[in-house]
Amino acid sequence: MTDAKIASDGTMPGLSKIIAPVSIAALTVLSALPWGVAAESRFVLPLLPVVAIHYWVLRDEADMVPEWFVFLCGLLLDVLTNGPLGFWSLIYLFAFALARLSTGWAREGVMARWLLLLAALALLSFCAWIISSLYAVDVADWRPFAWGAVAAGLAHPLLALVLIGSRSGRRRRNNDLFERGV
Amino acid sequence: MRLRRVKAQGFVSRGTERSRAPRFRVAMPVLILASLCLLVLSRLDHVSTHSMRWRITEAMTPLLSALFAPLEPVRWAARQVPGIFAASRELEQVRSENQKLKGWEWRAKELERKLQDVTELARAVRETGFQFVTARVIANSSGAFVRSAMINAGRDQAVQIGHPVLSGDGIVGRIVDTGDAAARVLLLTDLNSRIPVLVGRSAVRAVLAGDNGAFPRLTYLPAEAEAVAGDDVFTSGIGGLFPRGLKIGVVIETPRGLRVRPDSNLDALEYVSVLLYQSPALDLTEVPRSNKAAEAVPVLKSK
Repeated sequence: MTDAKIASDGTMPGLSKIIAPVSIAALTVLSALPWGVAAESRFVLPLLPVVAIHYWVLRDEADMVPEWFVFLCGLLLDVLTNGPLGFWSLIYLFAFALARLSTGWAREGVMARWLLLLAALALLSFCAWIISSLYAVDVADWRPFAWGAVAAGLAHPLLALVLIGSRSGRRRRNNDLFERGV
Repeated sequence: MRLRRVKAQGFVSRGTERSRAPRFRVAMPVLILASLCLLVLSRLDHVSTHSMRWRITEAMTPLLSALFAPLEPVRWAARQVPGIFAASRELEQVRSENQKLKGWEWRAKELERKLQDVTELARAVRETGFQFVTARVIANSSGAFVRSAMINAGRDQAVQIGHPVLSGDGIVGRIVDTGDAAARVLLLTDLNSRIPVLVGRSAVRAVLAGDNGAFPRLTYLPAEAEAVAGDDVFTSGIGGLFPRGLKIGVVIETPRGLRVRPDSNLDALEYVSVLLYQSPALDLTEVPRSNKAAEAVPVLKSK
């Protein structure tokens, strides 16, 4: 069931329009908090906003998550984690672009969306590893990046459930606008 | 039966939308270019990135501090997960350490008595107690680049660049950046961290160097030095940045040589103490200090 145009037609309640950007921004801030997990395990945290970006863009809600917003979220994470400015901005923009490019396959079902996300995470982690190595002029350890990608992929169902929950109110409203055709 | 959606211009099937090509606005290449420029500026450590970073950090500090109360149950649960797996192993370790400590206790009492005698004989002046500020860790680094933490105390609390930072278990790192209400702590595991240390009973001099891993390595350790696994590592005070005798950790044997396991759990820092140690080394370097910091009247607790 597609509810794409309903979102962009402005028929949604005002609150639901900000669910997508708020969820991405919230995950970005949460990524910077000290959770008490090991440094190597923390590689998964900055990838959680990637899962949210992917989730919203694949549902044709990219209008609600503009590129500049994704850029700012990445920049905020760079500032809060004291990393090089522009690093997560770049990765999040790549995530946004990958998700936009794969919207055609996304309507094949939940599994297709998950596989697309796993592929995107693998590619993004590889990019992150390359950029890290270039930035440090040294070959970075690839294992934390791989762990982060796998963990973020596994976290997707859980995160998707939360994001679906945030959309359920809007979906009920959208269903009123559907009718059974031929 | 297929579902169709009512639109102003009529019925549109799903197939039509599927064939729609992804649209990218002009903003995308511009933002990618901006990100690359920022990366280069950060690599060059440009002053503009520094000031921008601190402006945003200080603006975010109240939000980060406020987030702790509602998120505390989740953070507590996150901290428990690795603890459950490590509990049995730690129990065994604690038992064996307890046995060793009983022996050390007797020895410490003996040494304390001797030290008292020697001090009286030498009429040595006792080192004045340091003052410190306790702060909460409000953000952590996540990624391959740095090992640092942000605390909610800054120049307003008289925190300055270079001040040592400790947890209850030992040294954590030092202050490398300060704002009015926040400061950045460079953890001793960071790639850029170098701390002069003393190793073991024979107090061999070395430098503890971080490499972004969990266990920093010992460099400049003399080849003839008798450093073995289990030796304690303390700050040596050489260089003047850290006072002498702060506990750091113990030497461990790894496949990559001798390393140091910090006593503090750097991944689970909650509260830390910033030692307001007026290092003589700071006077020799050109560390920027604001007048505000000098004039600040901090609320301090004496040790």
